[in-house]
Amino acid sequence: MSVYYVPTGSEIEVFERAHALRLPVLLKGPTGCGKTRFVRYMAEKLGRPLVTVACQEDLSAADLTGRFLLEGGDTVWRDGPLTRAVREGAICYLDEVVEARADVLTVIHPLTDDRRSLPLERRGEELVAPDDFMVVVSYNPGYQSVTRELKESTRQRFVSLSFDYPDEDAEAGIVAHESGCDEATARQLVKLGRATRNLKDHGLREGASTRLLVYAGALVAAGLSLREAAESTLVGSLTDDPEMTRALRELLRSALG
Amino acid sequence: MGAPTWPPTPEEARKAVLEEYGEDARAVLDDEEAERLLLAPFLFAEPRGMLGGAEAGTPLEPLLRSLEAWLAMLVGRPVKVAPSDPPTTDGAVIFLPPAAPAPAREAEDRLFFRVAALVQLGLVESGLLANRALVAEMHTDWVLRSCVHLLALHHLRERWARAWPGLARDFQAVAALDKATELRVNLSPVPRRGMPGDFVPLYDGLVDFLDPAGPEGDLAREAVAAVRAASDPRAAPLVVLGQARKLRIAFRERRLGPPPLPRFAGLIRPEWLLHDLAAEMKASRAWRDEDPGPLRLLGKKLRRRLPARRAPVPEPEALTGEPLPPPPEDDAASFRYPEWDAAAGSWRLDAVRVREVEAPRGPAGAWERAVEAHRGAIALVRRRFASLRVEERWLHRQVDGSDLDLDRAVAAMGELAAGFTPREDWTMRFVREREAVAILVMVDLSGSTRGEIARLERDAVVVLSHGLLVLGHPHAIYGFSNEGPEDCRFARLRGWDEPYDEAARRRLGTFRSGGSTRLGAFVRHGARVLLRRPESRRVMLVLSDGRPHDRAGYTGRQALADSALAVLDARRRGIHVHCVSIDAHERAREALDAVFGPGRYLHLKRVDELPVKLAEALVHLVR
Repeated sequence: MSVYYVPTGSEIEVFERAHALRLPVLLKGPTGCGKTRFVRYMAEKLGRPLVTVACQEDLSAADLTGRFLLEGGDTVWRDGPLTRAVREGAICYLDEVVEARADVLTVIHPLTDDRRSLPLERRGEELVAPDDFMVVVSYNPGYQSVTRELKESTRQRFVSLSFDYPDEDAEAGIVAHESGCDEATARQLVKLGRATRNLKDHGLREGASTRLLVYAGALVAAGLSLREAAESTLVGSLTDDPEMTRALRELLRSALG
Repeated sequence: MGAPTWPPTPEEARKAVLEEYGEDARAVLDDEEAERLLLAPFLFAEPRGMLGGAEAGTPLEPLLRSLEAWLAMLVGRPVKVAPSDPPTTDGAVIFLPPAAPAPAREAEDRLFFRVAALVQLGLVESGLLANRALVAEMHTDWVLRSCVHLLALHHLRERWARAWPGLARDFQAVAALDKATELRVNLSPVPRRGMPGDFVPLYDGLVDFLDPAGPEGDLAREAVAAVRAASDPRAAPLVVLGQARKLRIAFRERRLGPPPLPRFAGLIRPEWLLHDLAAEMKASRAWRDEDPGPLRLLGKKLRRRLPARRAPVPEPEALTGEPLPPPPEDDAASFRYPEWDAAAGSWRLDAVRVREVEAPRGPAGAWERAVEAHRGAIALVRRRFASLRVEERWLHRQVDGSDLDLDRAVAAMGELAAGFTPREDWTMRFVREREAVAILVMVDLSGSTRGEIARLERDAVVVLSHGLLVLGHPHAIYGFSNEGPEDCRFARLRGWDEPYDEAARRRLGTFRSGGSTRLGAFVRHGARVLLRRPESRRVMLVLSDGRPHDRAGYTGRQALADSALAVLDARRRGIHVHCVSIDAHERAREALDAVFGPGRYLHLKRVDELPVKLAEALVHLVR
């Protein structure tokens, strides 16, 4: 396996069973906790291509399924990523799915129930998904607002897997492995990172992700001091608010002297 | 009485007390323990704020947010910090002085606040304050309180440095700051020099973190070593308490009085932890009534004399307003609240009754006339409130937007060329979103707000209503006034979900004033009303024309102290309390400082500014 992933529970078994049963999967958890890494890992483990779509507010149904484009004087059909994934029997991963408008998401409904089909109205065609095709969606519950909740009719089509940051030991192991820094440094970074997570919704929208800690560890491994590395990741990347910046700097001082 | 020298001998204390309070005190002095005599200069000294006027350095207020964030990261839960003098905690909120000691040096002052907060937070986290028996004991025993605090300081210093090694440096650095290590007993500064010989080793070991010699030094060393070694969080509070009791006995045997505390350590104020526990108060009161010990007799006599020695508090103007017409009993919800009796130092339970009533309606047309008269101010306030909307963004693919959505328009052309009819969603719209804040506006309708003042209050509320409508936050407007403690009326001018219809406009258009201002009760009731709201941000804006005042029992300092506690309690519950005052009295600021705290009110000297300034005050609270 070229993709490094440390399981935190039974998520691998659940995903494998869901794939075998042709059930779609929903991953939820905070930013940078390993959702995308997990999907990449599972795609490689199952030997399936992975098609990733980063959802956002302006995503349209045509962006997912495909559209006619003007080429010279002709109109040409171009598959969207969802259509391509269905044709290839891939895993289609819709990242931050709640960012897409609810009416756009209804396009995946026929692919997530027993029909497993994708109607392409513009082409008068209905694609039937091969057995290996799978829809995986993810979102960060912390980012949701009242206006950006997953519709119940969409949510209940998925097997859910909840992700969180790994426990302290596991997270230190991941940071050390991914960044190449020593274990003592990784432990200090994890302690700082976990402290920043206490400010979630109390000054910071999110605390430091495992990914950010890996970046900090990599900077240390590349020769920066721990303070410099932490300053440029745990402080600079988490907030622009001057008061929160000050609080984070004081945290570094409390931890590192 | 000036700042006492430390520590006075029993004879000096006896002499000072007799000189100060005359022969009345002599009858009970023979029964006093020497220790209690030592306490007398502090117990009955003029209370003195830690950090007022020229003593104030960097203010706390601008640093609050970063300080709270830093503490939350250290302990893994949200921490609330608020200004108060002296620094203390009630178990839920960390109270720090409103300003660091002068001179203002920001880096040093941040350090002062950080370490003071760590000590208070450590007390909460250690579980010491959860020991109700200890808290009750400290309530009456100052020496024990100081001993607990000093030993807790040693324990906390060790504990914080174990968890966050960089904090050891903070504790060391603060011990080098004169401004932070000045010694205090109660609120009075005490000099380091002139201590009797047997006090010095205890002082060195307990306060200065030195390694003292001699038998007293052994005592301090043993106590400090024991609490520093207590690493088990469950055992630590017991070790601190046990060692504090040992020290407390030693201090009494040596007739040393309470050990002074460094300024950054502050004081635990156990009455804050006890104040809302009715049962404990009853027990405390019963104990006090049953055991009028000699010191208490002395205290009662002295307290009677003390008010005359304090700076005179001006009494409010005589109340001449007409009373509000009494509402029918059966349509009023009734709520009882306690009041703080500053003279007795205890709570009066169920002391007041607040009734929610509907304010009387005035004649039609008054609202409209006020709108007409303040058209310019209303336009200004509406613009100001509109600018408060926080989240702004473009919504693409709209059917009825204001601008062309170019990407979508190009895609639609492709669809047209391919022979399909595209959706006509090629425009985009600009939207604004904001987090809801529950806003309760409370208007003083007491008798002093008659005539011109009442009209301006009414106009200000009419102008504010227009701003609130633009803002879109849920809001309610109530008036308040009372006739004694049993008839406090919280009169609805405009309810939370009520439209500004004819009925509301007639209530808002004509304020009928009369009665008094038992402010504490109304702030407590306003807090209750706000806490029932689902919004997580809550604002209470009090519009008042004078100081709290009611008939006997709620005047002068008594009324200020109770109102201040009510405001403090509301703030502890997360409510932003602010006041706009049009009190013309020259000492109005003193009363506002006492009740709402410096910087937490707006004092208008020109009443015609009220309509716009009231709205401005709210802008500052909700932005």
